[in-house]
Amino acid sequence: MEEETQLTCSFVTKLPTELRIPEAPLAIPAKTSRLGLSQVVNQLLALDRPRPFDFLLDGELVRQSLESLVLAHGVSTESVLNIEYILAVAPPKQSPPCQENDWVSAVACLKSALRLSGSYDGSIRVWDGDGACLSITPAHKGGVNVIRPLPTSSSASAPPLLVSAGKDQKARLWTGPPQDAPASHGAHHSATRLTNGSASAQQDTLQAVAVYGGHTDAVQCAAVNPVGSRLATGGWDSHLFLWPTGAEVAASALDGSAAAPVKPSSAARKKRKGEAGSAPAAAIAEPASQAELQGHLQCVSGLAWPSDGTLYSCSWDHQVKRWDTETTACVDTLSGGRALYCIAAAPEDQQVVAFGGADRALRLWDLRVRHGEKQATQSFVSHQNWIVDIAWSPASPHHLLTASHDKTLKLWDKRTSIPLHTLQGHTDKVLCCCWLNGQSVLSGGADNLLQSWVLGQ
Amino acid sequence: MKKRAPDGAAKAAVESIPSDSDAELNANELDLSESGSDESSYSSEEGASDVSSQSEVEDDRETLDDTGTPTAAAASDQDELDRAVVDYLIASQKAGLPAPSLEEAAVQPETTDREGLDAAPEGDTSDDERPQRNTVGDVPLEWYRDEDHIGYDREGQKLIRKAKQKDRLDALIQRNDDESAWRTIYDEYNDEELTLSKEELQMIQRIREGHFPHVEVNPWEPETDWYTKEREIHPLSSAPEPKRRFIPSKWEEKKIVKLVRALRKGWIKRDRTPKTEEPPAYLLWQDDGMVADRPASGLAYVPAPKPVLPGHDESFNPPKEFLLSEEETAAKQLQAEENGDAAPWIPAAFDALRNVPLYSEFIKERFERCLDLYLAPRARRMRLHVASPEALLPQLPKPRDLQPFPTTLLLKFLGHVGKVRTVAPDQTGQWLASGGDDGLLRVWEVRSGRCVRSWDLQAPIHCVAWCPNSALRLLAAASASRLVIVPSGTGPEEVERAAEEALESACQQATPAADDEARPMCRWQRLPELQGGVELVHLHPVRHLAWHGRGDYFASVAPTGNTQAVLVHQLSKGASQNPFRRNRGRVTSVLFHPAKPFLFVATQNSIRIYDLARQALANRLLGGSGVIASMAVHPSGDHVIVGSADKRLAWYDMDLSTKPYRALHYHTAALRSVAYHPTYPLFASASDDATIHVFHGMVYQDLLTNPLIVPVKILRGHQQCEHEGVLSCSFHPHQPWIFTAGADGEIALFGN
Repeated sequence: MEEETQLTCSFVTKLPTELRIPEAPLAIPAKTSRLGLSQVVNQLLALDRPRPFDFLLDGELVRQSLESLVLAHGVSTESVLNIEYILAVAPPKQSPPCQENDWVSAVACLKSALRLSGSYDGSIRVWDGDGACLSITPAHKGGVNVIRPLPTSSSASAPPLLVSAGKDQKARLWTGPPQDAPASHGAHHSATRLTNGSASAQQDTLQAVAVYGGHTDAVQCAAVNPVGSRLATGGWDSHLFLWPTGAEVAASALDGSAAAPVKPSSAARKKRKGEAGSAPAAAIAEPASQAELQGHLQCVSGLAWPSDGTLYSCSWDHQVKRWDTETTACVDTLSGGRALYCIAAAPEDQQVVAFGGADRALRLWDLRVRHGEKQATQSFVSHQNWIVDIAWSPASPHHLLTASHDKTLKLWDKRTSIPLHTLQGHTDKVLCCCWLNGQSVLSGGADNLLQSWVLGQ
Repeated sequence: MKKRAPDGAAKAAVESIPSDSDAELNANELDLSESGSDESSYSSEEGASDVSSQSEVEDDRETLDDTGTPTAAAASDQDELDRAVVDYLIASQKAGLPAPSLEEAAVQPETTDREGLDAAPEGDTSDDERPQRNTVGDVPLEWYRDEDHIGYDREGQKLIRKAKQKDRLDALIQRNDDESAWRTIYDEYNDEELTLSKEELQMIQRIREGHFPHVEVNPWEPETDWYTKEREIHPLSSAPEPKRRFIPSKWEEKKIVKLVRALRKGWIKRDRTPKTEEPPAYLLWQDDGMVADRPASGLAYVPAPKPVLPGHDESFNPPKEFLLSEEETAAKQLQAEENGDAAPWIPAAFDALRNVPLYSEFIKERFERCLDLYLAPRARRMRLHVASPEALLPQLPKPRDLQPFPTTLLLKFLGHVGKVRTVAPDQTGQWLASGGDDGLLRVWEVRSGRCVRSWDLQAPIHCVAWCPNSALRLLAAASASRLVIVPSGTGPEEVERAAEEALESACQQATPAADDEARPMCRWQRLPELQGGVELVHLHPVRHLAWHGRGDYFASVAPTGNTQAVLVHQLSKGASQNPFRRNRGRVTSVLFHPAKPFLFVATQNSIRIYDLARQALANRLLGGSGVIASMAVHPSGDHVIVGSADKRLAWYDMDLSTKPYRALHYHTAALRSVAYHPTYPLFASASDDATIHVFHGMVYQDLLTNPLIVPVKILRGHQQCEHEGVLSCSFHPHQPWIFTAGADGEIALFGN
């Protein structure tokens, strides 16, 4: 009978004091894995309700026994292992879905209470937190490809802004429902509650303030810089444009309409000729593009703008490019073997991007790590089909959400190659996903459903 | 007294087995042979008890008495027993036996009685077989030389040496004192001294002299033949003779019949004359014309071809019919001169052989022959050594080195009911058009697999093609006897408007032209039910269409159209023309050359390439045995692949030959569609066996290197439906992906 080996571990944490245990080294059986460690910590804490913990060893989540982890890292079994513990992400709870009329191709959240969904019927719907459709706005003929909210401006009274792009070769800037109208919102909430998103909605919820026309084919992706002053769009014509956006553009459009909306209004009428709803009274600005980033050969399919000067783009020509938006030069290029569909950058460290494509793997590119000339990518394979959308958690620099054609979403921690959770609820391809805040996620798919999940800790 | 044994006893002891059990028996034998008193000894032997053994001892004594040796009469039975034991001891000592203890000797007669009969035949065994009292075994005795024991008994106790080595002085004194010391010997093994008797000394003396040890042995005694001397008259068994001794044997008769039959038939030859040894005949010219062994020179002997044997006309006196007249002779010589041959043979007749003159050319010909041999030695052909059949196969690179190519099923486009006959992706790779038996022309989004638009053409669609002009984004489909062109609605509004205007102008220009003829071969008209569409109504069902690279011209194929099978249309003018007066065979498909003004026309068994600028046939590629189903032209324009119904995929290099550079028989059913990838070095074939074979087909820029063709992947994912499998395949314009349309109503996208 082999004697059970023991490893000396000391537990450290950054959690609040009531969840701390003394850092004195403990002898733990080497076969213990995450569950065993969690039980040990819970026993030491003596909480009335045990809480699941996750453990970090050398910046990697413990997903196997300590023994094999120590072997894999080449750490001596004699030394004291410094294990950090964090609260584990509890399995997400699914909320009741919202029914759409058509495939949901874009989702976003506004002020973390309102949910926006764009679908193949070309309209953007606004939903409240209870799953009631507040408004339906025809936006893009042929289908909405992407919706991106602008960061909230400093003045609290200004209405929130958002950007959408679609198959009609246009991107649009919208003003959302005014922020200082929770009372009125609550008032007409019961009155205009829409079922199934089919009835005619209140039209003035979303107001188009600007339209960006320069692409000659469908606009596939859009990204807004962290300040909210510039917009990047990429499309099937392999062009990548930078536009001015933000409150100034919206204000100028409103001012222009108030003064003499001669040219913009005619253009707006022309643009919105085919749309179902009547054009709003406000004029629509048509800003010219600030710059074009030239380099991609095929459809620009994903954009991420983590910091003011750095823009990431991915394309069907198998390349991820990093752009300096000030000089409009391509700074870095990563070439792969497959067409890429989506990209997301970590909110805090701007040197890490995650991208997915016509491949089952989610790949991480850390620009800080280089092996000679080759760039370092990490690939996490768990999906069974294409990954079509990636969203990085706004609350944690480690958590990612991926949507795939295999009808599932997966929640990843970038510190382990095994997904934390698989969100199953869609009955057809999942097409888009986003984080509502750090705690809940939203997804839309080809089953016409807008699903949401709440992650507990 | 003790040592003075009677003669008979001594003799028995010497001759008999020295084992203690056999002494008694030998005494009995002596009784039998010498005294003849059989009765008593037999009777005594038959008793198997203590009493009988005692009586036997008595017999012994009596027989001893008979021999005339004086013995004291025993007073009682006990005395007799004692005396017998003493006699036995003496006898055994004489025979060199180990002297048993008194107790052993007392019980000895009992055992002898039982074992004696069994051991009787082995009467004269030698002394070597006597058991050693010493338990040392074969251990050399010098091991115990300095010990006071000579071995171990059965219980493991030491056998202490009794007769210790005396002091030499003592031994000398004893030798002088004792008169029998000179005949006393020491038995080392049994640790005792033996004093030899006079008879024993005599025996030794006799052995030394080479005589028999015993005095009374007569080696020349007359032999008594106990067993064969007399012939017994009585049978051993009194059973009567069996019947079979008196009747002839049935089996012998059968055997005889068989032999007689064999003799009659000549199977058995009775008079076998001895083979006469013929003198061996040697074939003098055995190696003539055969390849002989390697001669000493080391060169292989290559025989010359055998000359034709001479005929009658070469005889010195041929029959008259072989003789030629002067004209014939002249004609023959003339003919030979014209042909440049050597002088012909002219038969000539001579009365006798001696009149035949010497062959005039003999020396010259011999000289030329020598020259031939000297200047043109025959070449040795070396045999080709092939290590293994695999070595003959070409060295192909491994498929994993040729990536990317489609390997996995990525997406299925579901929606068609019934067979999907055709798929075509657009130039951007964003959209996919398809048509099928349900009459629906559909446009799909490639990325999501969503059907974004569909038109109902009300008849099965056989071919779909996008207009290469990206400013119009038109989609053409062949359905029944009409060719429908619709704006796809995937582009921006300007493109939509341009497409509408182009179609409108085409219709307006075409209408007067069509009115000229009584029965136009093609009518251009608007399609009111499909927004902005145009239809070209043919007289015959259209099965195939192909666009020219610029997007202005397109060709349609109506295989049953006979003289109007191939029509070339111009979109900008709305015109149609029939370039060929007649077609050789049924046209199955047409294609435009990607760069040059060439038109490929595939008929059922060949492909004709017409130069449209010169209006002439430029090339003709020969097909195989099956009907050509599909063809594709390489983006470079110099290579064509053809799939035919005989399960064959043929690659034609047009610079090389009109025959296939490679013919690939991989499919198990007829081919339906073949396709080249526009940018990657890939091509594929789809077949009715529901598989798609993907090949790596690299065309090199230099003209000297042949294209490299490597099969890399078999894609499965479709089901056979009514013996039809995959009906169409088409590569994505930019990605290494392939779209396939199956008879099972599914469109699949395979990718890397």
